[in-house]
Amino acid sequence: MSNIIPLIARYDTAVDLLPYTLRGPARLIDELDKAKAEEFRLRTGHVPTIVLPEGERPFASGAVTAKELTAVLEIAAGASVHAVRDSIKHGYITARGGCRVGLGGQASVRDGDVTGFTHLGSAAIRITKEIPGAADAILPQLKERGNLHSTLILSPPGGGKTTVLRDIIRQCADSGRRVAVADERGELAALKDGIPQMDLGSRTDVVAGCPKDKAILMLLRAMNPEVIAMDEITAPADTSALESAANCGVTLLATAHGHGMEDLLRKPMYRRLLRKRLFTRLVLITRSAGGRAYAVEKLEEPLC
Amino acid sequence: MLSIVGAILIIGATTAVGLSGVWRMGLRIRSLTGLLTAIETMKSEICDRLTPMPELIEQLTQETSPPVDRFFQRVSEEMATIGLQSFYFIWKAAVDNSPELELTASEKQTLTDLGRSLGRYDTEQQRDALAYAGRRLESDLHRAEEQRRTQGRVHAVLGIVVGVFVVIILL
Repeated sequence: MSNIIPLIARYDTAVDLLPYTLRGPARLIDELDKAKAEEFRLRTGHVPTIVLPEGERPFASGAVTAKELTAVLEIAAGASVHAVRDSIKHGYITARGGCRVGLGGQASVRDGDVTGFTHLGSAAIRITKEIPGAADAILPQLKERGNLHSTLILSPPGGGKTTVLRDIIRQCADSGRRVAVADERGELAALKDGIPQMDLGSRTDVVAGCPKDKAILMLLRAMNPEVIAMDEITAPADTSALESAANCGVTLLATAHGHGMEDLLRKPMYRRLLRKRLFTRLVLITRSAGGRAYAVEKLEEPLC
Repeated sequence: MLSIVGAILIIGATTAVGLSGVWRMGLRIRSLTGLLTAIETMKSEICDRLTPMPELIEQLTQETSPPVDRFFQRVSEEMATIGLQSFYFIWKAAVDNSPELELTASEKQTLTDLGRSLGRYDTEQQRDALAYAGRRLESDLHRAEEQRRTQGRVHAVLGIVVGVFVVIILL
């Protein structure tokens, strides 16, 4: 790893989301592991672990207590559960620095809708990665005569989709194109006081904290983008909004969970997306012991 | 001549003690009024605008009047330490360390209990907690005003009378 200092800084940001009792042990781990670390995992009654590319490993000896998990919630929410209630309903909070904190436990449900958690059982603190140049290897294959293809980035969870997407956005915006980002979870830009904490380039407009489909339509109407980017297509409404954007001649950049094309085609939502040929390039990220591998596929032919 | 000066000093001192009692009653009323206004602000900011607590506490520091502003300033100064200590702990410490509010033990308890709910639950529960604290502090305010009306003048007069009485005994 050429420059690990920014990665360690991101790690330290995530450490600040841990309860005070676990911060010391988390700061003691090897610097190279800090740069590689992907998540902290806290589960009540079990030792806390750190997720590295090679797997999970404990970083402190004592078992995590319910009180420590409550502290994680308070820190991540900035002592303002009411302000993040909508994202808690989806099981996560985007904390400062763009770190996503996933929550598990006894959910409370009212009228069929999740309203929050009565008791927390686990928390996953994802360490945000910003790696300038992460898309260097694939970017030439995503362009044709200087124009960017609408691209879908695919990998299983934790594969590094967001990091690659962020770098494509940055390079695209810095090359002079107007990029609009629908950042529902706040992970791409990590806005603070309206200013992105992540480098998304000089010509990027962001709508954060708003459902992706609504954000895309807002951006289309208000910002006249050339490229629209969003992280994680999860709902049919997202695909409808992407269709609207494609119909306006906007280039699309998006990510999705999946292991490959066959995996995507099994899911009706993605099948429709591919059949309509909204994307003309597919980036598949796979992980192995040696690191990540990137494969770019052309999606020129009609599918299915 | 010296005894006249002494008598004036004694009467002045006991009158000041009496008047300080009246002044403290006024301070308590100002605190309760300020806290009730702050509770109304908190209700709309938390329940309608979903304002995060650090921002809200900072806003209250600016918008409230003395002596309540000092209380919120104490909370605000410690907000960055969430993680080292809970919001409730910060709030409770600020209640305990704000003698200038001149609150009674039961009023302090109402304020401390409110801190258990703030920022911890969804808007409805916080609205309920704020409404409950508001009702309690409002009845405390009525009592404080009644107390000042009935006892305020007594305190002042008693200060003077005690002073005169002491002077008579000494003379």
